[in-house]
Amino acid sequence: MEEKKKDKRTTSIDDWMIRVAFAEAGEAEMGFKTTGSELERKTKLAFDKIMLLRSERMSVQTETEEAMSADEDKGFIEPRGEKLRVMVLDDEPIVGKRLNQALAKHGIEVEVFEDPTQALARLGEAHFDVIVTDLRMEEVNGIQILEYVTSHCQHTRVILISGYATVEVAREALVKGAFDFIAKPFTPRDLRAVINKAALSLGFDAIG
Amino acid sequence: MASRKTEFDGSAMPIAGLGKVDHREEAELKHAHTSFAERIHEAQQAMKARHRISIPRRLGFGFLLWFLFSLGLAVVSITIVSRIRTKVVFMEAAVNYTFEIQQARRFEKNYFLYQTNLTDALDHVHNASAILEAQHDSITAVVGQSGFDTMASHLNRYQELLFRLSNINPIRDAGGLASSGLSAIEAELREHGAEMVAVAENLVAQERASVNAMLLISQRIPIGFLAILILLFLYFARFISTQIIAPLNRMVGYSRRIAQGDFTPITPQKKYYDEFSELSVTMNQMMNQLAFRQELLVRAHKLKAVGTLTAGVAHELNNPINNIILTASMLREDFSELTQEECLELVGDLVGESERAQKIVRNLLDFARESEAELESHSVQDIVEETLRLASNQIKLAEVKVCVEIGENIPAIHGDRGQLQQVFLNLVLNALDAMPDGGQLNLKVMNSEDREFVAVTFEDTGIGIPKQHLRDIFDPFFTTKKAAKGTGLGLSVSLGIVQGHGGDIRVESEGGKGTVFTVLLPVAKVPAEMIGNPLN
Repeated sequence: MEEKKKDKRTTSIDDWMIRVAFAEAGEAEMGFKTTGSELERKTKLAFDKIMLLRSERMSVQTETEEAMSADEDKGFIEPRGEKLRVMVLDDEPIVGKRLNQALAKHGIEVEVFEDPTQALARLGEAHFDVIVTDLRMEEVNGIQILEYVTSHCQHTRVILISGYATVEVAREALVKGAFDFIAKPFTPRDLRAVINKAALSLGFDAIG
Repeated sequence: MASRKTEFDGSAMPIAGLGKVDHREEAELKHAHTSFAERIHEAQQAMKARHRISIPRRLGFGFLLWFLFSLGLAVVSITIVSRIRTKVVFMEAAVNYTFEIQQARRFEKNYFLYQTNLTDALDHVHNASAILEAQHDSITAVVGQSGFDTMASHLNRYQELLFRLSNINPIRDAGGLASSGLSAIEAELREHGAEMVAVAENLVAQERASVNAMLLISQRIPIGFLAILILLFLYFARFISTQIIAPLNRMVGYSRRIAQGDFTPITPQKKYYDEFSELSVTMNQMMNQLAFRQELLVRAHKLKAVGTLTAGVAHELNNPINNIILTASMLREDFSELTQEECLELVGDLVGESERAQKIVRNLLDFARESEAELESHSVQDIVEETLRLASNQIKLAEVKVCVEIGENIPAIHGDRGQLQQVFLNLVLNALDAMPDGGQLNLKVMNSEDREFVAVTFEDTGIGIPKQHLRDIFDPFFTTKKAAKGTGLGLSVSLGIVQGHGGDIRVESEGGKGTVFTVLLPVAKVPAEMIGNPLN
């Protein structure tokens, strides 16, 4: 029954994505005569709806997980440390440096990677609660990281960041199970807010 | 959420920026166009300065000459025929005169033999005298006044002698006196008679000769006429071929040349100005317009390319901006806790990332701004590298791997850097569009086999072009892309630019396997300074 519910929400996310795409195509056909704000308004509306549906789905997932962990294997989540463990993966070195600085001072354990293959190797060795990864990288991209994490680490939240944000990419990320999607440029505060939500959903205390 | 808001903020901005560029570039475009317009203007002036002779006027003049010639011929023929007629009438009279004289002489002889018919002889002499009187003018015309006088005096004398003879009655005055007078008269009569016959026969013979000569002339006139007619036909044929067919062929050549994009103005080929010159002037005006439209088209397409690149640049800019925002935020948050060195490091990052952002924008602005058509020697390699730098964001976005291979000893080519960059960029962007799921783009710069051209090859591993579309792809407005994505002008404009450089674009494609575009550019043979404006 839970599976069906998830599917339903996923389809309605898809529905909204299609509406966004239609809105864009409509604007294009009109020859860009309407102002950008109209398109923006429509897409924002659609995105808000998508995010709402998505957070509903996440809460369902969390409930299920909590129920699962409460019922069957309470001990599995317990080994997580007191501190939230976050992996930051971005081929821009400055992003890693600054996020390390921004998160560490809030008592978060941060590991920074620039090379996605090294990051994947490290994922095999250690457990991370949250992974913040860039979407577009050489060799391995963020979607592949996301796929690896969803298949291997059930209790890890993935937050995707990208400078090349498009509706299609956001859709793919959210449908494939990313916790959230952040477009560059963002402030450390934006990221901390999202990580905070992820931490709460995992049963940690609020950070900061 | 902040992240979502920022995602669409950038969309309106680049378009406003482009509008500004557009205005300034239009002025530059007009300036670039004026030099061409001046060349056209010079050619027009040279053409119009020629003396004006229209084809109908020349044809009219020819026909007038033809008419006058025919008229003259008719007048000559009529005159000759009427003169022959007068001569024939006159000759009849001369024959009659001769006959009368001869009759008179016969009767005179009879008189001396048988003393009869003297009155008949007198009658005939009288007739002859009447004919001589009547034909005075025509005879004078033939033998002159003195000749006529001699004839008249002979006749008068003869008549007088005959009168004297009739006064002497041979029966009455039979005797010595009569016989001696008779013999004297007879001798004189014979002398004058013979003279008269000779003159009359001479006259007839002369007239006959003259009539024969005239007949000969009138016989020869048609032959001469025919000969002149043939000459006229030859002249007319030559006129048509040199004045109508040859210029027509020239015009066909010009149109063909124009269709291939060569807008060199038509210069005067003849010493005078006629309808074909008029046509040339109009064609020059047409070329002026075509060249202007072509430039507008190139410009419009360039702006479209700038628009495409802007999307990539906007995305790529997010990286340095993100770094700046993160660094600046951390600097503000932790300012009091950071050491001076740490602060300096952060500020250094801020400067570095700002410069990176500037660099990303600069290439695009350079491409968008450059507009003055300047023909110079360039290394194809440089232009290719610049193009790849310009499209680097697009290439990254499309997840396409680019391999560049430069042959050895590539000579310089002669052309307009901005325009060639536009051509290469268009081919690169097309290749990226053909590989929506990523792929490989191989770029090769090689010498052609005859070393006359530099060949730049763009080989992609994309979807390819179906065979039935291959011959249409260079047509304006032909596109297989979706409505808002392609204008269908890219390849048409590119081909126009390359042909304007004296080169060509070739294409080979296999559906599903990829496409190879080859741009052939002629090698610069003369140092750049030597090649000026061909008209100057």
